[in-house]
Amino acid sequence: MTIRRTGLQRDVLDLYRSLLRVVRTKPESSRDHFYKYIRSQFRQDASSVSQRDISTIEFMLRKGRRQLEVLKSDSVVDISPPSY
Amino acid sequence: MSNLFRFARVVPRLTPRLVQTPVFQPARLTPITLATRFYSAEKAPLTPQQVEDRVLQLLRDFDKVDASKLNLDAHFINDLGLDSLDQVEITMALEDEFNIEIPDRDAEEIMTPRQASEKIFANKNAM
Repeated sequence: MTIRRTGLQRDVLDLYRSLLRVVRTKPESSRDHFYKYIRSQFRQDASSVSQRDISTIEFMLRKGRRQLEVLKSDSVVDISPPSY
Repeated sequence: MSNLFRFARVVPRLTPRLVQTPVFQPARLTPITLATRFYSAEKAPLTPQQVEDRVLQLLRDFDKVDASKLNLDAHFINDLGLDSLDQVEITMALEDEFNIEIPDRDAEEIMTPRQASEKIFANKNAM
């Protein structure tokens, strides 16, 4: 099974996975909000940037990792779901 | 102020009593409850067939998957038209479904229902 992934792609997917794992630690009633939020942020960012625009993707990655640290806090129990 | 403190002391006293209640319950178990417990203790290990069926069902329920294209060897990205983010979501859903943890490097290799089923079947904790 060949995986044609660059390091950057892997970093993005690892961040996505880590964020989704954090959602499991949140109260069941708000998990769907977190899930929708994370999902829509990734979709939105992915469609707004070219695959070759590495510096922007790296910036988004740093932003996402900071958000991951914030979301990990136990005091974060809910999030307002995205308004499409 | 003193009123507030009185209330605060009531709560911790109530909680242990609530927690204790289930301890007394086994003595009052009805035969039906016992049967359920017996069944769960005798739970058979998963068969490869069961794992495959549940993996396919999970994918059928995934809103972006076209059920008509779904088969054990359908590649998530090439055949089902999903992307790498969807693939991550699927492996996370599989973790929830089978109550297991799939390491990141294993999870990213799962590209077909068959590969998923093999990984899950190999995991002794899957249930």
